[in-house]
Amino acid sequence: MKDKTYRKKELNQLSMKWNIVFSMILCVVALAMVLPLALVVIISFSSESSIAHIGYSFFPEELSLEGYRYLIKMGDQLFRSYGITIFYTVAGTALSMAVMSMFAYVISVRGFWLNRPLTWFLFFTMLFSGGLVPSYIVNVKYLHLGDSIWIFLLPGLVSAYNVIILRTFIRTTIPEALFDAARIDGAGHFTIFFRIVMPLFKAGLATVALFNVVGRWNDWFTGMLYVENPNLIPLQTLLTKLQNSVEYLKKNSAVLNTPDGLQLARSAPSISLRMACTVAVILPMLFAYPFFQRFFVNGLTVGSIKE
Amino acid sequence: MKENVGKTGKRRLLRRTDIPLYIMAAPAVIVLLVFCYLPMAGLIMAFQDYNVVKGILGSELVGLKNFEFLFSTTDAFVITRNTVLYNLAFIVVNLILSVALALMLSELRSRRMAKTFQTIYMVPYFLSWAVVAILVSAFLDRANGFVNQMIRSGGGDGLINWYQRPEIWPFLLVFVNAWKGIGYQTVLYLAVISGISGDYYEAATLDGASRFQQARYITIPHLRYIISISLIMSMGSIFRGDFGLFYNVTNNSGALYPVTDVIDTYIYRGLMSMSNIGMSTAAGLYQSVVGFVLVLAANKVVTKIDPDSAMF
Amino acid sequence: MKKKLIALLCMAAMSVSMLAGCGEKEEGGGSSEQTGQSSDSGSKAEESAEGQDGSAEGQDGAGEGSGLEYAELDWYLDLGERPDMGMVNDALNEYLIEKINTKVNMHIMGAEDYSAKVPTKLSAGENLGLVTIGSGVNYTVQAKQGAFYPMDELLETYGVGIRGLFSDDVWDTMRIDGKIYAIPILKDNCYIMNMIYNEEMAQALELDMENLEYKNWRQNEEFFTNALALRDEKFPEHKGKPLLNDITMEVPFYFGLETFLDNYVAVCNIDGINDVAGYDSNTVFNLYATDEYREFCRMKQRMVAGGVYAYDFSNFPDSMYDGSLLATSGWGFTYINEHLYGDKFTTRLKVAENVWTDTNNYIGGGTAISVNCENPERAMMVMELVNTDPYVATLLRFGIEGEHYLIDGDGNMTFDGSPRNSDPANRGYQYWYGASFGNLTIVDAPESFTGPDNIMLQRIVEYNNSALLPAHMGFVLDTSSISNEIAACSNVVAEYSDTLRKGQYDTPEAVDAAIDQFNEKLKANNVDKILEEVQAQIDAWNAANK
Repeated sequence: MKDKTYRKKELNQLSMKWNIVFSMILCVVALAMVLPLALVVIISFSSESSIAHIGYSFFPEELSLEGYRYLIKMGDQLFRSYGITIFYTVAGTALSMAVMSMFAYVISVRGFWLNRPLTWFLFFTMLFSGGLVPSYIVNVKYLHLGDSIWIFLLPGLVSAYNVIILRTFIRTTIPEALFDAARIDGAGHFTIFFRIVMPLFKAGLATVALFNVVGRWNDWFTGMLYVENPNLIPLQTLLTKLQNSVEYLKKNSAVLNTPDGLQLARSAPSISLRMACTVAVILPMLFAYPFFQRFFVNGLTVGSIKE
Repeated sequence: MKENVGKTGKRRLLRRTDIPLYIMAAPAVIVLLVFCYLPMAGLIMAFQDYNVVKGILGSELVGLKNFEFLFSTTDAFVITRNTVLYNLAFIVVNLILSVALALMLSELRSRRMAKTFQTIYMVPYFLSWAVVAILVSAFLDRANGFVNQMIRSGGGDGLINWYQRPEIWPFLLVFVNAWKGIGYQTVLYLAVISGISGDYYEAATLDGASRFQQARYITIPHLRYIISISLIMSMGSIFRGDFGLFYNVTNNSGALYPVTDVIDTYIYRGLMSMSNIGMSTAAGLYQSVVGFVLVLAANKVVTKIDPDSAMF
Repeated sequence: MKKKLIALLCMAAMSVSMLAGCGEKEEGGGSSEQTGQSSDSGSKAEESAEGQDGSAEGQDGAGEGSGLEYAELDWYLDLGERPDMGMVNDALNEYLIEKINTKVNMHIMGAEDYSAKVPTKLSAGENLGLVTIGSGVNYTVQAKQGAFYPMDELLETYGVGIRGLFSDDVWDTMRIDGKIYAIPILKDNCYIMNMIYNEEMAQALELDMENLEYKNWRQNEEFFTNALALRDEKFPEHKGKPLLNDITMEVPFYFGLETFLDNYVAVCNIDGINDVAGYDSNTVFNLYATDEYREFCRMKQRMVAGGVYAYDFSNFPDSMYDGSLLATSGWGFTYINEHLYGDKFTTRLKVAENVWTDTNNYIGGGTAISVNCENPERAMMVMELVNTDPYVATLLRFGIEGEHYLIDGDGNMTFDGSPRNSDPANRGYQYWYGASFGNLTIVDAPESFTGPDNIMLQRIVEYNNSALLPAHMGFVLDTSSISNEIAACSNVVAEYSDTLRKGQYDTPEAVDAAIDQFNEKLKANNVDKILEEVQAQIDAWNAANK
């Protein structure tokens, strides 16, 4: 079998000419995306005076660690934030994937009488929302989730968008015939779910898991609104708070000319600090991404060659 | 192929084979009930003159008064038009670009190159709009921006305030939005492509089909389902503008409002001085209802074309 | 059937949450380190200006043994975090326990945080104890929504000192539907416009700054244009940089007017200033439609094109500090340190001749009490101390003596050499003005901040008392019948006024065209309805109050 597929690979390869064309196009796109990141990194290592003199540049006059100094000073708090964020990202995603994939399976079963109502039930939540204050009332006053780790795990457990994506994967990746065969063999839904569905739609699982991880990692608002305990402050919240004094000044420029505003302006984070914050957030994601990547085995090599 | 359908409605509920399904659905149902439907009762605030002491249950109802401000501006048409057109443009452009990228990536000979590109494409997604706004200003800034510098070195005046030129912004915003979003979407399409059984391609190659024919007749049809589902779901947020994009990247420049003001930025500005919770809930409800209607319509349309690709 | 169940569930949940009342206790913010400091206040002299109360009057008993039950409450502030917040909070509590057996948990956060968190909490009915107005907490809106506890009786019984700090007129401006819901801040509550100039440069260019007539920034175009030419000649290294800094507000730097909204679509002239011709102080008009506004915009465009102001100040982030500016604007300075912007040059202060005030000045800040606070009486007692006790006021702003500041031999306060506050880039605890805390004028501050004998604070009180009053001091606009028009017009103002104010046009014709469009759009969005309504309310108020 391995021999045959090796030969197949030869036959099925893209022609050299098109490979080069595609590679070039993809390369240009990649440059368009990576150069700004490079700029962000360089700015984070530029000195304030360089930025004041020549603006943002790939070749600053002077490099410095000013931007990172503040972050390093935060030392303990920074580590705690990284820790708590990693924890609830992983735990939350795991929990979420379990609950969502089960539900996705249920609504993918053709002929199940609750299929339509449940899909509506789910989808409605994607369109309609009570808003910030009612959610706050439910989460804090009724469920007492405020200022605890659960606020990060529970409310975002089910995302209608992701569930629909999961269902789509189940329906497209797993042929109906497989289900029928299993049912004829007398398998119940649990068996089908665990033995057939889960192993087979790894790509779908990985995709939604990635979306989940990214969503939780980027979320700064939940921590901002619900958390005061410094041990629970997530990374993005911490860094956004840091950068927010600048945003406040931008939106309320009238304040600048007053004595209060002057002090605020002086302590406002520099551009290099803001870029350093961005780098601090992106870096772990860039390391995590390849972990998910191996599940998207691309193109023709399904079931045969793996890299 | 349908499952065994019960003879009467009553028996269906207790059908033993279905019980695992109830159990599997239960956790999600409970979570949605508690965290989505319960707060949804708060939508009533859109119709209330909300009072903190009386609360959601006790505040008095004022009919549609909270919705008036959305329509009482001469700009009501402009902001609606902007929101919808931008969203349509975003959806179409992003779809085409992401599918194209996904196809190209899946065809590349070198898996390693493909993987590297994929990782890079995800990067813009992680940058916040505030940072993106800074990057855009690195290009468009009147004094130090890259564009004006080029103009100057080419002999021109080079003092154009791009943030006062509405003409370029529709294209710019579509471009920036695509730049930020396609990496994310490409992952989705790649994942679907990776699930296509190699047998199809085998058979096609043996039949002598070219790569392009294979892409056209095998790969793309397999993407049909995910594309139509994505499109239908996007209809739901067609009345929502991405605040970060339209506010930050444009530097909230007033001269650009005719082409960059969307419903969300208008609401934000209008309510900044009033922060009336009834009005902001009304605005959100308005956006949701329109999205809902459009999703239904889109679903109907898709059902007519290809019933399997519909959502419901 | 499912729908009914869901509906029932909702009703049940909502009723439970409403009945739950305010039993929530928030966690205190920051770390808790015991300091064991004695409660000695600074020994500098306090002011004797009018309207001040040196002692903590009006308290019902004091001290632990006085029979007051223990009480705890929260206090939310928008002043930004500091490393030693918890430490100072503890010191404060030591004092408060001794005086009134109360513990206060301060939650100090940044302004953006504050605006994200606190309005939501208020609307959700949380008990936040003492709440700072501003940074997203809009006084009028929240009071109307019922989020605050009415204070009239509390002031009479437990807040007599505070009551005495402001005139009746001012208290009237805090009334919503007849009741007072917040304590205003005693600081510079008037528009004190400043010019802070670079003395070395003025001397080098032989400019007579002291005798420069200065009612507002509008009137010295020729002077500054001339000064720019002189500067560029004498200091060619500054060529291309602006001469003056970004003046970010139209009012008060350009027009002395009585305002009723967040913008100037409806304003009145002030007697004694009369900045806009043709209107008496009882007639409401739209500033943007006046000739004076057009003149101002044209002038701004000329001065930007001429280089006096920068087209885009974000390109000159250092201009305030590198000595290239001749003068900068200020609002609220009555005394400044000679090196306000660093050591490169000496700064001197000029205060404009017109000083005035209006209602808006007061309702922008202050402290309110949550409607479901368990112990509003105690909250008022805390506020009384904060606003009348110099020890508390100083502690809140500058921290603990011996840790955050030292008193030298002359009785002067200084930060240098203090264990936790000596590095200006890295202060352990310092809030200046710390306006959200309350009464500024009783604070003991270092000479470099407030001058010898805290003269700045004295001057503030003087200005407050002598400021020109608008014709309708105490009048608060009821926006309920015009809220849609206000939202619509706010949007139009946002679209045009910023660019006009910044003079970012290439030609005067462009300015004119923009202003015309601006006003057309305002008219289309019913600005006239707003003007009529405000005028009607003012006439009614006049009739009732004469």
